[in-house]
Amino acid sequence: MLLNYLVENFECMPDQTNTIGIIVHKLDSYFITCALKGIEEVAAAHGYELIITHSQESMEKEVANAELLFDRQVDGLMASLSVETRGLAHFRPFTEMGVPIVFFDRVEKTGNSDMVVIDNARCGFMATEHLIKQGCRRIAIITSSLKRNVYEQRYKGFREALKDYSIPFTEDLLILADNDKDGGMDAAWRIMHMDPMPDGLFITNDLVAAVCMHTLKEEGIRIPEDIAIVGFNNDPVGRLITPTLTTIDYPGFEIGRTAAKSLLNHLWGVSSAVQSQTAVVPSGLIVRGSSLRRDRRADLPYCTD
Amino acid sequence: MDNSKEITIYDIAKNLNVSPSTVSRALKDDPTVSKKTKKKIFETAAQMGYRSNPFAKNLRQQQSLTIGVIVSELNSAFITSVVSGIEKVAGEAGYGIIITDSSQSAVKEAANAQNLFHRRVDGVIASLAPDTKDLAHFSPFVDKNIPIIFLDRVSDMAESTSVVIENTQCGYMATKHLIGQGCRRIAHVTSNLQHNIFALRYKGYRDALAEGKLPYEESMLVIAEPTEEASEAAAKKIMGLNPMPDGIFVTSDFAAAVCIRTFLERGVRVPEDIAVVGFNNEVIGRLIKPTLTTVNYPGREMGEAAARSLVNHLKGAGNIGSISTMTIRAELIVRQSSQKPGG
Repeated sequence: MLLNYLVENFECMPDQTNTIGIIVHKLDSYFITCALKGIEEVAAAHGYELIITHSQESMEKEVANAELLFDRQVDGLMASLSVETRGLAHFRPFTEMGVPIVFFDRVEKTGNSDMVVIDNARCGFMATEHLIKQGCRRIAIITSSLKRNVYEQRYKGFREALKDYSIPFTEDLLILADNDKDGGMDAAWRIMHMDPMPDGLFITNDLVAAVCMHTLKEEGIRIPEDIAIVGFNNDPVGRLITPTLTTIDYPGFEIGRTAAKSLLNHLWGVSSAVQSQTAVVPSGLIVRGSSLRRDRRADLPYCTD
Repeated sequence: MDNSKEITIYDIAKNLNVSPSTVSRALKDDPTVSKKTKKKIFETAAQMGYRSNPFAKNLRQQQSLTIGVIVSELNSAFITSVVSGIEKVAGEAGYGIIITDSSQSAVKEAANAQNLFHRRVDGVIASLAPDTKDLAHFSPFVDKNIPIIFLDRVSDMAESTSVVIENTQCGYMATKHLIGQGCRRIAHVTSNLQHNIFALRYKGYRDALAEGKLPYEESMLVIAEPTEEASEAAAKKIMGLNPMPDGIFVTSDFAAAVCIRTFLERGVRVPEDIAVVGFNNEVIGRLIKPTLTTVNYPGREMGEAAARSLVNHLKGAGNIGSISTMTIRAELIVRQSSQKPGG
């Protein structure tokens, strides 16, 4: 694949700024800082500097940041979209000027640019199927705005798994929460007031999962015996809490590296602007204590395929 | 159309068959150019993808409404709260932020400073890399009267405003708390002491030991970057000391959480066998068992203070030169990991 091919000894054109602009939706996220490290490693090795802007999950800020980076004449742009972003009109000035863009993680399907993602629907399916295999029959999902591709896809995978195993779904089993500490506490509070309580939770963010689990435990709910929990991201926090958190590995560093290579290929003319590619980086389920209600072996065929 | 070439006023002039000076005047909204011509020039400029030269724009407007932020690392809860503090104040004042990460390298920091200078920022907020030896890479800003504020990781050489916490006092406070809990053999896990913030916390730790007439040996100082692997190795090293320390002061909450996990996994009780104090007040400290005693490191307040001072200076409301150092208050938060029974 072209993504793995990098032109050596490329000489930069004199009218280039050797600067790559980056727009991220969040900074206090383990996934994002890993992705930035990956981007940085590839960019630095080829003499590019990065300037990073932060949309704080606001489309308005994202639009302002795009303008700001356009005025700074970056050679290329990488972006992970805010939860609110609809449409890509604010990136049009770049494409019209021939400045290549690569989207990663949070993307819009309508674009004509390269994208680097994981198979979120499949990950959502795997997480939910694992809970079913562990004996859960009333499974809730705690996630963020379903208008954003990553959450919409994880939810889709969740619903498909329930359907495949004929597990009933009702609307109250979908809980929307912000991706922060307060979101985790609010979600736990809602779970505790459900009757009957769910016996399994798929939470699409590890920090939310960690706080939610902590809050449930403080109320005397046993994890995983009363409620089994699967998170998402493989944030180090999941290895430090008790029980340790089952999660989906989201390889941020790999995503960042792949996205940066893809952008460099466009900058060097190896990839053409009209031909856009979507790279899907592998991910998988990591089983730990928060979901293990049965012998782990019972589950293995489903998490290694 | 060849997209790789930057469109200039000359291209627009050629396209419309007018003089470049007319185009230039039209784009500046000069009244000497007729409305009709101006409209035609604006439309053509937009159509051809003309970008105003930021330098020329800067000369015209004097401001780019952008603040450059240089951080030495991005993957820390402290830095992201600093950035959110900067964003809040700068955003309210109408400034955008661009961030560069020096990855703890003075060489990268210099490259980033140069790049921000070329990207024409109105002001800079910088937290230095551990191996930054001189501040020559900031002199282009000084020469152009572009204000710089140093934050957290500062240099004695800087003649700019700095925003810091009392690191020596914090190290002293954390260690003194452990002594108060009955600890008599206290180890210290920290990062590269080349960096002033860690050197100062270490000094505070040594001051408290000296004051309490407690022993210090070199083996009780463990230098480990706050990664999972290095912190686990640090905990094992401490467990291997003979006699084993009964207290540790760790300058990162994440590292402290990894140390606690390592101790507990190997049957060492926290706080009974070893009391632990961390640093930063991260969320993790409230989620682990025992909950973590820590020093509240007010990143957001520091970011806000730095940005407020910079914005005031840029708006002419304050003069950075008149203040040299702003110290933000940090305090000890006592939780379970350090409270010895009967301590």
